[in-house]
Amino acid sequence: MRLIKHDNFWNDSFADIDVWMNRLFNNTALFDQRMNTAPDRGFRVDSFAGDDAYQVVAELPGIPKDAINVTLENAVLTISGEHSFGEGDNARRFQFSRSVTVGDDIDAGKVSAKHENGLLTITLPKAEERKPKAITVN
Amino acid sequence: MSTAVTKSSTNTHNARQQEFLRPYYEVTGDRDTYQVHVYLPGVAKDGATITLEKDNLLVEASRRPHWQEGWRPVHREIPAADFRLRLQLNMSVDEERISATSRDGVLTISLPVAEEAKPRTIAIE
Repeated sequence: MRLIKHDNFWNDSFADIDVWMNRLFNNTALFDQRMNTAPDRGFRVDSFAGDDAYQVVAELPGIPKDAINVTLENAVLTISGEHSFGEGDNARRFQFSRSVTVGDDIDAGKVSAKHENGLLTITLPKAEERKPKAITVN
Repeated sequence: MSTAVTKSSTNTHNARQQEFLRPYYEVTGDRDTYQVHVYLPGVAKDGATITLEKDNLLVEASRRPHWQEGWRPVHREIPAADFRLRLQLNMSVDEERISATSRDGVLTISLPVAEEAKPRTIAIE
């Protein structure tokens, strides 16, 4: 017996907004069948730039911290790993990997990463000599 | 339906539309208990509310902004909209024993099937 009566997607008063949003952003599924057409993606990534550092945020719901590898080589940040969902016969195992090019003005020794609520936030501080500086005019 | 409701739904320019994102969800479990896994990345444990009204299960969650104040976005893919998911359940659920846990951005709602809704075999005299 199915738990959900019927997906009242079309009777939902928010349905037309949901359809538009889903088409624009896809859903939050990690490794949906439809998303396999772009194997280099698979999860969404945002990147931000501040005065002192860059920040890369990856959306990885359901993936535990120890399943994620973050490596930085030259100016390329790679987030990868593998995980299996479900147990026993229903276990689905998949690998994910995505590389993002960051600026070359980062201090590689000070890069840190935080994992909270399924969001991985990587902070890449800029190297001291490359930070924007104000120059006084005599 | 009152005319006021229909009027606001067609007047999309002025109506203050709150845009919601419908999160991905999966259902697992057996005939005694079902689990609904709702994928809510970026939502803390206290950021989600679960409401069960008759046979409607409603999950609403708000995301906290995942960026710092004043930082310039270089590339954006993650939507900032809040989540809203409404599901109609096909069977009655034992409301006293519903529980939910949240881990790594996935909310797992455990719904035990009500006793009277469980399948039972009937002996033939």
